[in-house]
Amino acid sequence: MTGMTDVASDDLSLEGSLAELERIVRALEEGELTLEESLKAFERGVSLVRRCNALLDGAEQKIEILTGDLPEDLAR
Amino acid sequence: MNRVFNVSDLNSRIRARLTTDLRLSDLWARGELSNVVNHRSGHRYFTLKDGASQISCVLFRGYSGGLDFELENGLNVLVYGDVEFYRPRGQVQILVKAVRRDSGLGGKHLELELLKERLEAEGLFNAERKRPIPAYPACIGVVTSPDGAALRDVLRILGSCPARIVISPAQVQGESAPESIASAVSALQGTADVIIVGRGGGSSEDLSPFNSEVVARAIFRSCCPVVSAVGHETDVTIADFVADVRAPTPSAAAEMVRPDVERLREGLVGIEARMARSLSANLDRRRARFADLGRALSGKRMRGIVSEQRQNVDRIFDRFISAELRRVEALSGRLELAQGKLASLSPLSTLSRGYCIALTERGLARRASEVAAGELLELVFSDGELLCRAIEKKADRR
Repeated sequence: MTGMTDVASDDLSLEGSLAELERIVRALEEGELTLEESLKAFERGVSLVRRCNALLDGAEQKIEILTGDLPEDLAR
Repeated sequence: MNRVFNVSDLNSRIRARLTTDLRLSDLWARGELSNVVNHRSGHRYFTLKDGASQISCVLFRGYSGGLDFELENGLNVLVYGDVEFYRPRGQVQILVKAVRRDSGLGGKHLELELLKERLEAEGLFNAERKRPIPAYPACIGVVTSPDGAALRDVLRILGSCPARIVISPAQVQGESAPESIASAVSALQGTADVIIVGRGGGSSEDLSPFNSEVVARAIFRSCCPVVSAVGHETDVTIADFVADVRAPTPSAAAEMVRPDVERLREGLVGIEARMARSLSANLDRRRARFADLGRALSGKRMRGIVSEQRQNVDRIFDRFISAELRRVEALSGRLELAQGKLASLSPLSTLSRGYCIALTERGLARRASEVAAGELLELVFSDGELLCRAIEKKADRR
């Protein structure tokens, strides 16, 4: 099991992380998991929450253009 | 079943039926003005008619600002607005938001109407196929002119949102614009999770590429939802009918697509609290079960098993408590409930069940081996403390 302080290192998108979080919360609330499973789910959930927060904190405007160059006023 | 309505219910029902039909809102209707009444209130009432039919119209004062000519009986006009059912009089009317002189765009206009009818019959405008905008898109595609104000408006409103923004440049006016827009939409397939297609305001000629069949079909084929954002609020093009969502302007499209980050952050705090609460409740249940088992079973061996399981729970609980809960606790008052649960698991409630805590000068004593014979001990009970001295150390009784 990974340590508690790890941030989910996988490349999940915000939407993907949120979908997984919903599943985890539901599983935890249904209370059908064993103790170890609950703890694993909890740790995974916490690392997903951190990942989401990190994604939000690190958000900056990332602009790309498919063809040609970005107009000068938009490039940085 | 024949149901008897009173008139008000009936009219409400008719009104609900009419106002939920999207094809009856934001529409243009063409006809001749008659019965024009300029009311003192500033509202204008008139009838729009053609050779065979007529419909009542009302232009409220708030919308008459853009009127650049006087409404007169006999004028041919185009009105823009929503069909509405005026319940007190049981009357279908158009709530007009704009009126233009019908300069008889003639052939071109008719062609457009025919195209619209054809695409509608084919199902390109079907409400059932409209998809919602994803709440947290990873990639937002923008199809517009790289030099236009529309792009700047969109980027300004999107700001620093947690998504990639990919511009797929298109020529938005001129002869090659339709093809250019269509291929710019296609180029984003597989990359974008939602696409904004549009341009800023302009003459009806400028907006005409968005009335073309190739653009309509490219939007229709898109694998991800498309938000159309063409011109100003009163400009409605075929692209708007095909798109999953119509935005009145490019800025409004950006508002619709931008993820609500504040709400998401709140949601994350809530999720953490729910997880902590569930886990805590789960541990609670198990502790209680082991405690019951411990009371119910006799014999050293069974007690040993129970005690092992119990320590197992304690060990897991300690890990849970030590690392995460402190952080979660710090988050906010949303966690009060979870904290309540935890309080019931604190040492204090254990004490009230008859356990006690042994303290030496070095702090908590967890094992007999931590205490030397002859040493002073403080035993903490739920109702007070006892100062004791360890007389003799014995081997583990189990």
